[in-house]
Amino acid sequence: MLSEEDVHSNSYADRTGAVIDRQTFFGDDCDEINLGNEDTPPSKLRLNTSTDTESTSPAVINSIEDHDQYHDNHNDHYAQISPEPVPIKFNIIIREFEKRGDGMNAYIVYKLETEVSGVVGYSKTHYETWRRFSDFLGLHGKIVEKYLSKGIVIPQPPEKSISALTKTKTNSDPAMSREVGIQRARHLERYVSRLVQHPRMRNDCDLRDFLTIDSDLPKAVQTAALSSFGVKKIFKNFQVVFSKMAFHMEEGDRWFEQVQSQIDELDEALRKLYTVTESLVASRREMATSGEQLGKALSMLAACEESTSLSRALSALTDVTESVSTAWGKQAEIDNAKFSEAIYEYIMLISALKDVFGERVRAWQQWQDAQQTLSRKRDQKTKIDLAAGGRNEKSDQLKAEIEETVLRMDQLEQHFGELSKAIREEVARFDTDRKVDMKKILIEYMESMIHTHTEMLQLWEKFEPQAHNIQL
Amino acid sequence: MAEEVFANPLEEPVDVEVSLNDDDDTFRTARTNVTASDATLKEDNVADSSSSHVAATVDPKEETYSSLIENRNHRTEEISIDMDSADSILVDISDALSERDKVKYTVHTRTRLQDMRPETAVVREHEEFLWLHGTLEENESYAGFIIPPAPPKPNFDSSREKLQKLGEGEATMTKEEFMKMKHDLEQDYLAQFKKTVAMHEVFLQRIAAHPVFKNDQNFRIFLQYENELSVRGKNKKEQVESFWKRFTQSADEVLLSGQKDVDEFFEKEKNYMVEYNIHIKEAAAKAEKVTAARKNVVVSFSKIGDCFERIARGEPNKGLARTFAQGADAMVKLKKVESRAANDEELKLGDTLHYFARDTQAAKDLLYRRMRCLANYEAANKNLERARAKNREIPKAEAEQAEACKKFEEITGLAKTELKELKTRRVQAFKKNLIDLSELEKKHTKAEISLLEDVVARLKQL
Repeated sequence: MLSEEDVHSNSYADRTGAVIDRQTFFGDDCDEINLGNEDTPPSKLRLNTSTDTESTSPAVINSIEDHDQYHDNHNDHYAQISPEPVPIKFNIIIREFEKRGDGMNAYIVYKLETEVSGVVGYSKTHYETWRRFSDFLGLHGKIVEKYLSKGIVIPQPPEKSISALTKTKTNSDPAMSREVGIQRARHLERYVSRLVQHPRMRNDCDLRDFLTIDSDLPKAVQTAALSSFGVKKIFKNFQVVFSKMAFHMEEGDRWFEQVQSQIDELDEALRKLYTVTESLVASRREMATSGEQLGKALSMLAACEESTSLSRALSALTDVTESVSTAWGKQAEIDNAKFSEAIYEYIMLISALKDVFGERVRAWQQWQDAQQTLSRKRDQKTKIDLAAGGRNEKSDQLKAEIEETVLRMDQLEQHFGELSKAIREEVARFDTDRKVDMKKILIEYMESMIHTHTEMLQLWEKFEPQAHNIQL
Repeated sequence: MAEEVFANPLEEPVDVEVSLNDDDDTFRTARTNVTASDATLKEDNVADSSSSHVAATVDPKEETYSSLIENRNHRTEEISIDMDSADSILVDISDALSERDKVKYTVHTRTRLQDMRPETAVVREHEEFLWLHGTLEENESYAGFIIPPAPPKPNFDSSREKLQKLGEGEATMTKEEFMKMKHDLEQDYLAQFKKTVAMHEVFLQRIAAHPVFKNDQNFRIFLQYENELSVRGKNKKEQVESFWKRFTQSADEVLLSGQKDVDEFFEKEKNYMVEYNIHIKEAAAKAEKVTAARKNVVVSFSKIGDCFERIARGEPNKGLARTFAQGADAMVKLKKVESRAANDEELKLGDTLHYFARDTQAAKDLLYRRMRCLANYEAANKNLERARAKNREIPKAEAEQAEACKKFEEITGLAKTELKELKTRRVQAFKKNLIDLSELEKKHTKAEISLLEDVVARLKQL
């Protein structure tokens, strides 16, 4: 793997001294963006510096990541002019899933149908693969490893749950495991679709294998433990909190400060919204089930009513009530799938965004760490130089170490800078996506309600003459 | 930026709110000045008898929601009283005042009857209505009638509790949130209040329309005695007694179930009423559950609207903020329509079922009284036979037998017409309410569809 260090090693020499200068320059730049409209692209100046570093590096495209950067860069330029990227089609649907194996070895495989065109690396336009849940987690592991440190917001796959596991494994009731399957298929579809939406991850080789290779993937090791992901996450969170306490990062960048507080606020609001949508779904389901019971009660009443015409009207009302309940039940599922889960996906995305912010803090800390080491070493060297008053083996060794540290510090600084830049891009992307998605969610949701209500209107219209027909 | 974002939804005329304002104000006085006696809640009551007049005023405004709410009929059943006839009594509840733990109804009476004052207004409480019902039920000479069921106890506890909680949470909420929640609760309370008033009114009107009950001495006292009737609620002992009475009645019913009925009509009617009562009660309970769930949906809509608004406020991207503001607006409107739909569903379906559940219960009671009479009659027959066999006290037994026979025949004759009438009334009321139900459901559904289509169109434009 061609690492960042190799790529950028050419440009180090001339910038070693300017660490602090650059930092302030960086800050100023950010303020400038901050004042402007959110929609304005990052300032030209900043973009130029970054392209400079890129252009000094050899444009060897032998690793996927380099390839990505190349690609990404172009996208960047493109994005300056219009936010719409080149017309590409990349749709993934999970329509089917099936259960394989028996008893404890039972698992569910999901059929991914991919429609793709205009994306490098995909020769056909249609692919179909069968993947099991742990394959998704395996893919996620690889993606996280590759992209998190680069400041990319990685969507989160549905978590393993014990209840889902037992429902699949023990499986007494096929309807139950079907329920689990449907819900998970929806989550997984959202997850992969999110992945391929991203201009960089879209071209990832593992993702491509995942979507195109017909045979089974080697079993992922990482997911063997039931909730290793969750545990790791908790551990990581703990780490973040701990390092925050130990090393408080002073945010020199007002843009980040602002975005972070915005994100926090949005997160809170969305979480609240999510709980409300959940209760909406619950109430609608309750309406559906009670409506069904009402239908039964009404049919009993209709059966015992003496007046024939009233009895007929009541049994018509029974039909209406039952159909209305079914419609409410369907709407409850739509509330869940199109609204509640979509909101949840955003909550998870925000948490991924926060992960990336955490990654930036970590990079900053490492850089600061290196800086401290450097000054310590410099002090040491001065002391030794003063004491020995001239050339000294130890001093030489320290000199070499200092050089090495400077180098490392530069790399870290560079990493931090790049990470910050990547994050800005990611946030911009997140903002555009959000704008589109939220609108889509709302429109789709409202349209689903229109549909349900239209259905109901027809039912009541059909019922009305029956009510008029009651003979006195 | 924020103002600009919100200018949009606020600009739109909120037509419904305007029409409700009147109610709001009166309600507020009723609630806030709990002790002030002048604070009253106006129940705009067009005299029921002039139904043609009501129809005339409703028709032209039929299309707007406001008129529907104003004139929405809270009665499950129309009681028609002939205004022109000399012996009619017109009763309505002109005012109702909600106090801390009770509601005071102003019962307004007009009549041309010679032995009554032409126009009176008295203040009555729920317990006094119960008392009136009790005296009618206990009066033996009314045994052959279906006694109009007593109105259910006003239940504002949940609304009150919520209002109280709202008061406590005032500090933690923004002013808008507070006002909005308060408004919602007030609407809730108001709807409940109006319904309760209507049910009490219907009870009185049914008595007033009844050829026999309207001459009842207690009813006259209830209508025209200026002071408090000083009937208190049942104390513990009386509660136990009434419970015991119910219990003995049902035990008696079981005993009497062995009683052979000579009259096929009643044999059939008895089985029918028992079965019908079970089913209608069940249906009423289920309908209540559906409405409760629907009201929860309304609450969710309102909360989703709040969340959207909050997100819109915190959103730096103007376009997205506008999208959310639209969403919030849609949810708030949707909530209003849905809430009305839920209330109408309750009123037209749930309440009709409840109403006739109570009426069939009253009919069941009547059938029980008749069975009791029949049993007494047969016992008297046996007594007479025994007396004849022993040749002792024959005249007394004969008199008793004749008395029981007369009573039984009287009750049988009356009960027959009463039961037939109940059936007619039921079919009539169901017809009216089911038609109303389908019309209202249609209306609300249409309103929701056009509202949603509107929002979708606007969202797409953004």
